Amino acid sequence: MEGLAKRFGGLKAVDGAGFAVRRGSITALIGPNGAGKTTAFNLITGFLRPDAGRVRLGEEDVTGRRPDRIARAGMVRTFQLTRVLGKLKVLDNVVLAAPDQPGERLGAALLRPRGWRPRERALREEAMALLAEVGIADKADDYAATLSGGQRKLLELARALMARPALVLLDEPMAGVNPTLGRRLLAYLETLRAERGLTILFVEHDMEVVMGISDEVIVMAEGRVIVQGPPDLVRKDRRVIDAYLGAEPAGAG
Amino acid sequence: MDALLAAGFWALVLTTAGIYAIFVLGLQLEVGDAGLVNFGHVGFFAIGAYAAGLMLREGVPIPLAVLGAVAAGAAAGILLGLPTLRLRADYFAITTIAAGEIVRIVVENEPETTGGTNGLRGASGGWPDVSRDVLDFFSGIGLDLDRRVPLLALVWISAALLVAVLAWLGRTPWRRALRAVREDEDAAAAVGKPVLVYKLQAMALGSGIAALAGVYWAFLSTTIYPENFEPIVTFIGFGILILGGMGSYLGTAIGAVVIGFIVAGTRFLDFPLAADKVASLRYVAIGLIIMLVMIFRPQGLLGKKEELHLDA
Repeated sequence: MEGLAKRFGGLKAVDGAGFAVRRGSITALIGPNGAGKTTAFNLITGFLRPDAGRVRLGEEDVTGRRPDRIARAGMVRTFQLTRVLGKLKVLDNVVLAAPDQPGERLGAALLRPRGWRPRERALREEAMALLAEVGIADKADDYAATLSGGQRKLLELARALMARPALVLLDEPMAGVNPTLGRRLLAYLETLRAERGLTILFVEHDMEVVMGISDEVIVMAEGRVIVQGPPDLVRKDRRVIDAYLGAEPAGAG
Repeated sequence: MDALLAAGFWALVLTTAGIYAIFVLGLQLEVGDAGLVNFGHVGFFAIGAYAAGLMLREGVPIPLAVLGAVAAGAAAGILLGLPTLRLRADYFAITTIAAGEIVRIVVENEPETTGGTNGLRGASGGWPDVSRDVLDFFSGIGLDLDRRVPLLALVWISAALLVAVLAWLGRTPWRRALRAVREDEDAAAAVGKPVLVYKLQAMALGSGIAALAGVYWAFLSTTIYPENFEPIVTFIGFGILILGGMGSYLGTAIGAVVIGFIVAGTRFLDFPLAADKVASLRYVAIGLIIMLVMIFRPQGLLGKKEELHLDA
């Protein structure tokens, strides 16, 4: 993406931010509160229309497309404040995300059950496997609303992966998840990248996690990208330290 | 209370109830499954009744007129949905109530076409002849039925088929996606579900079903009047929905019989009261039922209780 901008009234939430996420990388997006990370996510995934700038996925320009189209194109997100479908069973939450269920079309659902029944069975197995991977398989038949905050994070992750994304955007995937499970999740994400070539962009506040897993770190502050680079370089960057400590941006002060 | 013993009374009451059942099945799909609080459902009931009436008067064959009326209702649902389904739920509700009224007021003010307040006569077209043929056939084999029985049968067979089809649809991935849209549009969109498409489909189906109820209303009444299509009809529908239980198609049918009896049945019972007071008491009774349901069984007769308390 490049030159993305979004203002809410007089507030420039994202102000000409631009960064690239390398295919097959694990990239962290960090920055102090109000830096525009979540807004950037919303702009990239179509939940907000940018006032300026472009979003590209590979060669494809997806700027301003509807969120469901962008998800289908391969960029799938999770939400910082989880959005599980409470009155659906946990398993159904995951199966729902499958991109290739012909039974989701009204005509086929009604008239061609043979077209979707076997697919449904396969998808349920796949979804069960994903739930097992994120560690909530025993909850599969519960209503999603009965899950705890951390479990909802895990469900959202499973749901996003079920959509078979090329790039997942995870908004604070570890928040509220217990540390042991969190570490297992990280390992799982690395496996996914290795096996499926999945690209991961995530927002996270836990610096240990960020520095430990990321190939690249993007730092945003006040709606702009101030640094992008490998964790070691970012960690030592003066501008990053200033941004976090609330000093004047380098150059201005 | 002799009326309670007459076959004709029950045939009429149950036919009315059946028409309500069909009407509310459409509402159930919109409100219960898709979360679209449509306060203008009666408008599509009216479109079905008038579309069928106008076609039948022109001599269009009955099956064709029924199909045409249902298609008109579905098309009107899409037409209303396109600009309004992007609105937030409360604004959508307000807009639909206006849309329903627009239909009625247009009908009222187009007397050359619709008969205006004098009613559209002969709206049942050739149906009375078909009904008579059916009755003749049964008296031929020694069964003398009330003259309303053929429509009663037609209405409830349609309602049963609809329940079956909707229940079938209820187990498909399509409805899962629809319910996902109801629960959280953003979450549904985030995993690639085209939210507007699902809402439009629900509107089209729900409105088409309401139109079918309208067709049967025309069959039943022969002359249809704009006053048959006032907003209260929608709210009676919501009463049935609440009583029967959100999400339950069978509950809808049962609720329709109870409320249908109050709406239509009490007309023929002798109360020691003036007619207009009985009319008002009907709504008092429906209001009371809704209150009692809310207090003692908020999920309705056949609704799922566990879903009521799950707000993620």
